Amino acid sequence: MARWIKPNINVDFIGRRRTFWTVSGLLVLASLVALVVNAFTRGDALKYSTDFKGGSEIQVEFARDVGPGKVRAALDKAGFEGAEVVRVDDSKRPYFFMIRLTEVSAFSAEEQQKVQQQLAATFKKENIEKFDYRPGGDKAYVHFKRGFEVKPDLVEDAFKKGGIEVQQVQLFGRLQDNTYEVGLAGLDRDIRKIFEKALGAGVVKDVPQVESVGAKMGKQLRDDGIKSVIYALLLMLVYIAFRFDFQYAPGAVIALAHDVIITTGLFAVSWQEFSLSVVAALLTIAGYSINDTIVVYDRIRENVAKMRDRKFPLVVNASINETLSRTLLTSLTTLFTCVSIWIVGTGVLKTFAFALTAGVLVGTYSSIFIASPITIVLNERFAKKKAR
Amino acid sequence: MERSWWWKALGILLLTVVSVIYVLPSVVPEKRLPSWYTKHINKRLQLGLDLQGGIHLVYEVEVDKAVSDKADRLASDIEERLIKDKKVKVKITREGRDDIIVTMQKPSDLKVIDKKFLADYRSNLDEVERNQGAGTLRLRMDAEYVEEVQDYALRQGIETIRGRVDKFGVSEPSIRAKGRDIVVELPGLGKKDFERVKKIIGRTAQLEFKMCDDESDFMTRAAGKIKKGGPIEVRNDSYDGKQRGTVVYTYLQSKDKKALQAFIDTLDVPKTHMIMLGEEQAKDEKGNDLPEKVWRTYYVHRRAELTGEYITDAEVQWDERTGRPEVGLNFDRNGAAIFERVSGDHVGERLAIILDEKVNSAPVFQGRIGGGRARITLGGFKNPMALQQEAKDLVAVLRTGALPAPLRKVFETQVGPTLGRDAVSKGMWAFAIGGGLVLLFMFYYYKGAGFIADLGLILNFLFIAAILSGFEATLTLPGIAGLVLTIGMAVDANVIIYERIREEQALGKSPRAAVDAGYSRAFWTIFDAQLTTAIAAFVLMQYGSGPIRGFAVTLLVGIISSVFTGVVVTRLCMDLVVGKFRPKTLSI
Repeated sequence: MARWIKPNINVDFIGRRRTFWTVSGLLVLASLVALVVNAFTRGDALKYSTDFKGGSEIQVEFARDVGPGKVRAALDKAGFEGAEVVRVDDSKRPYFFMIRLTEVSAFSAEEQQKVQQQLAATFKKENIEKFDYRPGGDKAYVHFKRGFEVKPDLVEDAFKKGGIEVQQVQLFGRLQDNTYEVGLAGLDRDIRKIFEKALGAGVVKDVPQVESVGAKMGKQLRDDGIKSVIYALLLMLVYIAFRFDFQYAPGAVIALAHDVIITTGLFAVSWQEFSLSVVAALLTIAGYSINDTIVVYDRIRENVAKMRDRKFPLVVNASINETLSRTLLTSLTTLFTCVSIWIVGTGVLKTFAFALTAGVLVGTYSSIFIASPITIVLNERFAKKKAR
Repeated sequence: MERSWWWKALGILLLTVVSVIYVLPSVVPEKRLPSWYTKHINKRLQLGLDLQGGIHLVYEVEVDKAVSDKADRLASDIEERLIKDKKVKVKITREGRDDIIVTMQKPSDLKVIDKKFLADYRSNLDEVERNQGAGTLRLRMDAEYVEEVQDYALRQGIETIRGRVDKFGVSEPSIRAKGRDIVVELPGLGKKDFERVKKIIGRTAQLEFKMCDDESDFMTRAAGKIKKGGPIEVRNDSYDGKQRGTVVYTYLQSKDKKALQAFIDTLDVPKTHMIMLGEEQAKDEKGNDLPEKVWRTYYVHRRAELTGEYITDAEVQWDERTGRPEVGLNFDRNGAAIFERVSGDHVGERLAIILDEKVNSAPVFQGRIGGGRARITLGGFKNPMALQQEAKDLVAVLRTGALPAPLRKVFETQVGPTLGRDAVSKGMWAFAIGGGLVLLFMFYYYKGAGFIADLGLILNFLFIAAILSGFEATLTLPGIAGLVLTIGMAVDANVIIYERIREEQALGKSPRAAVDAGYSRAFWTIFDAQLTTAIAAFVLMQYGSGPIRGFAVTLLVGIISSVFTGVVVTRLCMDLVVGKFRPKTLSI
């Protein structure tokens, strides 16, 4: 009979609970710090994918057959990791692709400032109402004051002096709005270069359009998501309080938050792309964490009735030991699937599996070392109250 | 074996057969299945946009219409305030997209529109022309405000489309802005769904109420240009205009909408007016119904008195007289006030109710209407069932909110998977390897009992696939996440039970007693653990949308199926082993 955990195993998990809490506390703190540090040094707490941030959508028509795999590989090599490459089935344009990148501004903030200075020098500041550029796009807009006469050539010169190559300048919208559209030679040229280098000269037939795209996860969708997670947590708390006892509920929820925060922290530290799939993985981890914790709780409840002569902390420790075999075996079987996807999968699948693997490990740890010991603290509090 | 065992076994066998029947269309290519089979069972598992690609729709939001509507509403607001608060006689008309023209009956009244009056509209309107002598004032939408309205129209458009698309169930749409366009990506839908989706997405559900101008002779003059015997007919109609006496007016009608529109396009309609079209049942000269429909013209004021934005609720109701379904509308407080004033001011005039740029009907105001209710009758050419469906669809669309601006289709095309076919096949391999490892491990660790757990796991996978196929669920990467967790955790039930059985055996119980105790003790553990997860999944399904919802559905289905196979199916097998073969020791 295969038996990796001896039935009479008796490890003292409870005695060292403060050590484990300190370790966990530090890990949670480190995760939060990593998020904050990222927010300051990199501009974002996490490396959000186009799902959250939007970015640029570039249409590319190739002259010959190149698979989506090669296109993605070429972009990866050029530093555009996690690009979304979609083949368009169009009978007129057989090798047509849509590529989505997270913000790759053809026009950096510094350059924008330089150009604005040049424009102010040429036209005087009070004649320019607004300078408009949507990140990721290949067009900038200059709104002049109404009635102010503008020569398009001068606009082009101002951009050139600012170090920006311009394709054309033309009047935009109604005449009285006095707005000029400036076509920038930016991303389309870069993309062309990348593909010519990786896939051979003349491979790109045309880059018809570069445009900024909004986030897939819009505001409402995000708010709905957050709301649903909060409701889910509350209901689980209520259920645990009802089925077990109130003293059990906080431990389960703290352990769950612990798992999700640390996994998110790993994404902050490793600066891996944080996409909608990763959110799904986090939800999965939450489900797993709760499941794992409840099994131990159930045993505690059973043993509390059975071992009336023993003190609560000892009962908890015995319960953790008794369920240890099951806890570890279930983690192992779950890890089989997660790790194999992590090793074999590519791209989004890989980051997704990474999140799951990390989450299962942390979740197993927390249900043993965090969730159950917390019930002891609460039990002491309740006991004291009753004693009074 | 006991009789109940046989019944249970038969039930599971039946479930297995039904599951195989449901899964087949998702696994075997359609051509390889006989036609009688696909005729009855053609539901299949859909792969999401990320796994198999799908339909890519791009709509241009006609933001200028939103701007024009906003100008209409501002005009109504100004009119309301001038008449109510300032007690002046005034006429307000609209010109083009941006302009509002105020004309006082007494030119000297123009002074009531002073700086203080206009201060409320400071960020919305600019004064461009004031003619004290004629008593006219021209106001124009502020350029920055125009931009704001346009942006809002785009954002609102996205949210509205999302609300509508989500009504289709489990599929996982991706909806995002791209410049001034909205891009909608829908994973591989069937052709029939596709048509319906396009119809519902494109439905602006723009409701407008405009007054008809039947006293103008514009249409009569236009009718003079119509050649007799052509596709367009000239008709006259009359109604009781109350204090105005009998109103007789001219309109044009034709079976050919294009010809009618082409003719209208040649007319030089005044800027303050427009000609709209509506469909109605054809009548012969004597007024008897003919079994065909015709298009007819309505000469209306350009300015909308009221729009769908003031609607608080819509419901399907039945016309007491004819018993036909119609749509009842409730206006909010402002809308009700405007409707009451408009109906009072225009007694004996016709109000055109315009839905999606088409005149739905044009009843005559019989008197002032309070209470803020209105109804829309539906076209009369369909059977009651179809009418009821139409009313329901309209209510759904009106409730999710009208699109602030109409959409124009830019293109629709088929796109490949966002994840890439290579990535998908690798993912499937990884899934298979992981699953295989779990099976092997269970067999190694629990021997005979492990084999039983493996059987349960395979059945579990089959059941999940069958349920998802039956729902025509869309499987995406987040969905697979739910499945991975399920497969990993599915064996959890068996691990809990088997560990328990081992414990009970260690206490010296016989195989049969150990199995009984193991299952009954472990059941509540499994129940609590899975139910807590199920609560989370259920809440996510109710409130979450898009990908989160898809994930929750697979997770929930997985939980139900796992508990069933993990507890019921394996129990049946174990009972067979201990009951029939009565071994001295359990292979566990």
